[in-house]
Amino acid sequence: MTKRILIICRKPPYGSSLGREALDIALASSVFDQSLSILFTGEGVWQLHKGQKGQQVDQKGYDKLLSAFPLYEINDLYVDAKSIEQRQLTQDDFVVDTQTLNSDEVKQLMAEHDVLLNF
Amino acid sequence: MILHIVNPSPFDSQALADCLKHISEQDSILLIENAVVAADQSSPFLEQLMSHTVYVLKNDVEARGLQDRLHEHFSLVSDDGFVELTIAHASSMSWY
Repeated sequence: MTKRILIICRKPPYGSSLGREALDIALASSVFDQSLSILFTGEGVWQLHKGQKGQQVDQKGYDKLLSAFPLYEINDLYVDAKSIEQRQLTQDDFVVDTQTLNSDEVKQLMAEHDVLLNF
Repeated sequence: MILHIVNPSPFDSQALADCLKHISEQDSILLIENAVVAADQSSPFLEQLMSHTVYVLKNDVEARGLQDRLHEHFSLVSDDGFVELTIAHASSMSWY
């Protein structure tokens, strides 16, 4: 039976490689047809932000990588409602379509997955 | 039922705060390495931790000499106990 994987992205982009590594795992898993969801919470929501210029700090943009996700059929992207509200962000600020989940829905999401990878 | 394994000190990292934000009532927490200070009598996180089942890794507590400073709510577990906890829970998640 395929295990359902949830990747949780809590770190902001560019300051460390953790966020990037999480997204690389997502791409690699999708190639192997794994059932995969990604949750962005806390500072991790900045990874989704439009208008990034990663080249200014000699890194590849998270926005470019994330906009490729639909091509890899990674469509189950979620954001924590409170985290985006605290940062005055809305869905319109993001490079890909995401679903906003309230606190109970996030708990439910975690309970539904077999493998939880936290970055 | 998830086992949340927390590794960094709550004074150093958002990991424990994030964990407490997303944890469900029936889940458990295991504090390891620098996170064991969260169970110390001086910790500002005690009240929040009390509403969950919390385990603390014995070796890490003793290494820091904290064994007489932990609230009785917290259960000490050995390395073998750590393994048993991961088996007893449907899944586990590391916070670092």
